[in-house]
Amino acid sequence: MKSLSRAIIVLAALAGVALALLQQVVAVSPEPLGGGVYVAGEVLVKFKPASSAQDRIASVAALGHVVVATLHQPGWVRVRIASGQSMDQVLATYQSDTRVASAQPNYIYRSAAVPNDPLYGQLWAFKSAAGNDMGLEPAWDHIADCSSVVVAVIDSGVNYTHPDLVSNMWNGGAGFPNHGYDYVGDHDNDPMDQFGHGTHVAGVLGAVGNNGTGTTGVCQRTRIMAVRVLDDTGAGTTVTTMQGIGFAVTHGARVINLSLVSSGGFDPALSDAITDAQNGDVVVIVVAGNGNGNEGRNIDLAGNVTFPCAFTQPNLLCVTALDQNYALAGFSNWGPTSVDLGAPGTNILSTSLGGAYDTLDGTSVAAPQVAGLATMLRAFNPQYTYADTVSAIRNGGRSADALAGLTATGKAADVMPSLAYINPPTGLTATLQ
Amino acid sequence: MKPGLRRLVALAVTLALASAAAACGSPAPRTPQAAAPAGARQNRVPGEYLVTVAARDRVAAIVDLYGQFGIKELRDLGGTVFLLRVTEDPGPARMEQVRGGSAHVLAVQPNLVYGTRRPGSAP
Repeated sequence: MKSLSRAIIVLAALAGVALALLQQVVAVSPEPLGGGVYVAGEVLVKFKPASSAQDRIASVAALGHVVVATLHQPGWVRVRIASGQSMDQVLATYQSDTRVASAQPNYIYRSAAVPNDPLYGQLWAFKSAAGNDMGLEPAWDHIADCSSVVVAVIDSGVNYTHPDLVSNMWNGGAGFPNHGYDYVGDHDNDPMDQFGHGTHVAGVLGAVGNNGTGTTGVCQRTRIMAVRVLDDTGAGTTVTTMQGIGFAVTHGARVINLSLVSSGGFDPALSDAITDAQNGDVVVIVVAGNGNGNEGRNIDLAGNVTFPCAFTQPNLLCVTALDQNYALAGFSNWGPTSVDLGAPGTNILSTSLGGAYDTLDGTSVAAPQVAGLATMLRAFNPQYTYADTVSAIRNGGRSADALAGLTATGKAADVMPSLAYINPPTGLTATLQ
Repeated sequence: MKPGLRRLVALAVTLALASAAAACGSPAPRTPQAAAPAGARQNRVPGEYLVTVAARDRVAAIVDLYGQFGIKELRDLGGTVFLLRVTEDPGPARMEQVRGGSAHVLAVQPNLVYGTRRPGSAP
């Protein structure tokens, strides 16, 4: 136990260092915006080493200015200038002062990875003023392109011609020119969505980002495999779903999103399909489901159990929905055992049929937030197994009061800590001397 | 599916359909579909079952066991799993009872319904 404790301490320290390094990179990587955008009414002044503190205060006060803060860098102070003074005039005055080494505006920096998609401001799940979000922006400074990983949307198909999806669709070659397969009806290679659900899911996890169009997904670049298992009313079966999983595993998907449920009891055939995915090192993200009417329920209780959420394979993560206050969405099912974590699932804007956009509520749109994160993790860490990916998501999540006791982790998906999470090496042993 | 096995399945289905047709003249002792609980019908596709056999060349055992319910389709789903569609649905419990301790048919289960439900929609 002692050796294990030491190992845990070492790993925790490593995780802390990694997170600190990542944050440091974030802090220095942005470029100043063009056009001299700066904080109005402020300048940064660097005094020469020979100047005393009193000299500095006197210089600033003589101009009617105020030192707001002394910065960590030697000689630098942040100064609030008098109203009505022009920036050029103030800078020229300071630069002519023999005690001053340099002066400049306090430029405004923004993350270089913030996408230019016009509807981005409505994607509260990625960044919200209240901080109730998955923290995508700092993560995008490290990885926004997940195109090394194929993510399968096993659903009602995908509108693969949508302008905000088309360039992120999986290349299925000559055999699958429409980016996937259709297991509904006659079985063919055209998984065009006739219902809209799968198209919305696809946009949440992988709408093309930073293309000046519509929205962005969790991954700004990825490869979406469209597998149609639900018909034009949103209904499918064990057969269509297990076949869809089989297709995804066989054709190289590393992550599967399954935003569908059944309350028909344990399903051995679908369970086998999930196990096949596990054997193929594929992560499967599923939903807790929406309750009857507007009321969620505890799906751990006999009589309420839903599948695939209640399956116990270790490559499976079950997701419930959070609202914009990071409270459990009223409609969302929960389960202290079967449901792993929460993610944003109300008022979620994403791609829709006809090349448009719409908003949906439901655990169906919470799951692809996590599927996108899983895709990002596997792109960022190509050596990650399904177990590493699941571990990073579960352990990297952010504690959410609303989920305590209602989910297995009590956490909400959080991107940066998941990226920074260091999985303990398999078979680690340590000996104290 | 290998050509030989495909022929075997086709033959088996043909025989089953012929058997069902021959049985049409006799009173049906079963109560198809109505025997299934109402709740269960909402969660599964009536008359459809996934049947797992011990080996692919044992598919004829499916016909032996379930031909009595009238086989409409027997579709290869890969591996040792087949989708069986029967004319007269006896319900999952009866299908399992008929399977009994068969050494060739390892499992039978209903083809469950999966789907999406929008928040606020009726159960």
